[in-house]
Amino acid sequence: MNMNRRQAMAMSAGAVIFASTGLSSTGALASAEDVDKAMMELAGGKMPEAGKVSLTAPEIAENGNTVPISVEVDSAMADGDMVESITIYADGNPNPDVVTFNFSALSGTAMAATRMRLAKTQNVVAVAKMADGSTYMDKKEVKVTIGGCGG
Amino acid sequence: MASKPRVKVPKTAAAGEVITIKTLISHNMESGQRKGKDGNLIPRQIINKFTAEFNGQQVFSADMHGAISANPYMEFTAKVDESGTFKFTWVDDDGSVYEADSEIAVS
Amino acid sequence: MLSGWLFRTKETRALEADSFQNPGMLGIEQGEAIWNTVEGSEGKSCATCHGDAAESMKDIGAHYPKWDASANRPINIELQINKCREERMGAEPYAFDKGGQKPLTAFIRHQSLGTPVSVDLSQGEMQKWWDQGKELYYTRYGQLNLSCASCHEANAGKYIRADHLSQGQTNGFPTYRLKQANLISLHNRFRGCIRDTRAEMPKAFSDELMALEVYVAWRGTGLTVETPAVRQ
Repeated sequence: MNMNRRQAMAMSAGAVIFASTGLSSTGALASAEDVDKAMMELAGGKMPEAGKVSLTAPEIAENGNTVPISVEVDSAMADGDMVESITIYADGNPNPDVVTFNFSALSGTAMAATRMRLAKTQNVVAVAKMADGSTYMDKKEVKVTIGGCGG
Repeated sequence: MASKPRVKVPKTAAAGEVITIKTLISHNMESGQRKGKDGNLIPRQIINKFTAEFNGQQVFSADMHGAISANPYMEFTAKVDESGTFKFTWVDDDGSVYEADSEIAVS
Repeated sequence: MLSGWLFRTKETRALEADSFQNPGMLGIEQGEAIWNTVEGSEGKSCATCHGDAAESMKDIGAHYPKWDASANRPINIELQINKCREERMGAEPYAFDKGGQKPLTAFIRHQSLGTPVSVDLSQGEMQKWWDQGKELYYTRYGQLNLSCASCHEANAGKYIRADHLSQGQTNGFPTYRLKQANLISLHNRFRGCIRDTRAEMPKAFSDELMALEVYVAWRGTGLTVETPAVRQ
């Protein structure tokens, strides 16, 4: 019984410590609606279609400060089949904008990878814009674990 | 800048080959969302633009926001038809520009 | 005996294993620049005496801490650097975690990448310090009443809230932590762990933490040096 109480104390005390050492946010976070709005704008007033673009992100991020992501569109990247850009959004960050990758005829493929920050568990969205103006999207939920032993 | 940018470009390639390029640069990427010890917001200072050119022509670029992690990493591809020089440029919010070059021999 | 690498996600493991992508390598390159920079009244850099670190420092870092007869206590890489700075270079010693201490320590240690860790307890009074370190390792501290062993021996492999507990090995230090996006020194990590038990933290390089370093490094005998490791 004593051990159980002690463990329970350790757990709750831990929660306090870890919550207070996390990145302090300025308040309001983005929402799925914000990302929808940004996507509509990018796509010229309609929602991008699902498909063509694939987003790779971990199911669980070990630390929200550094989350590896990669995106790719299956495209010939030659006349008539060109990807202009891929834009990444995160719907639970203070600002939904993450990055836009711009491709060219010299890109060879429409692939890019980077590392991003996630304030909490949320959806990461990739929107590919083709040279003909059509847009495609993919979405992945990334769980961000909070409550590790801070350094 | 704590250290030079790191870039990884193959030294040689066959004409028309699609190569993978990786870059890594030391930078805090201060997001503008964090509060300092005094309780005030730390102003944003990030690298907001990355560009890769080959023999003067743009290959790839990235417009970055505060959600890109510290020490930003970029991986992308390029199709090379001739020998030449890749030039990589990072632009800081404060106007600083960091550059790196890499040669490739194409046969 | 398991490296902390095995307790991390596949993404974090991959990040460490790719010597280009590993962001700790930025610190290694910074350390290399410091190695070649002249400082102090004697007009010397590390390279002036030690030449190419790839040769002179090869496998050296895998065997620290070791006995320092002149100081009559164990010495780690950080303190060895400070000793050189004061005695050979005529330069100010680095304060804990300041100046070039972390990148230079990591650069030296990186020259032992893949070398199995071993600590020579036969020199001087190393055995006595090992005994003290062991005593500390199993002593419960702080308001949470936790010893090192409570987490890293009795519960390694389990989760403490969202944190997957490792065996608390030292073979990857200085290590790049995703949380701080920076190199983190061993004594900083020791202090962080002790803080998390809600105890008073001993100073870096104090007798307590040097004894603990001797003992914990010994516990990892045979693990290969991973510096710069990547951890959460």
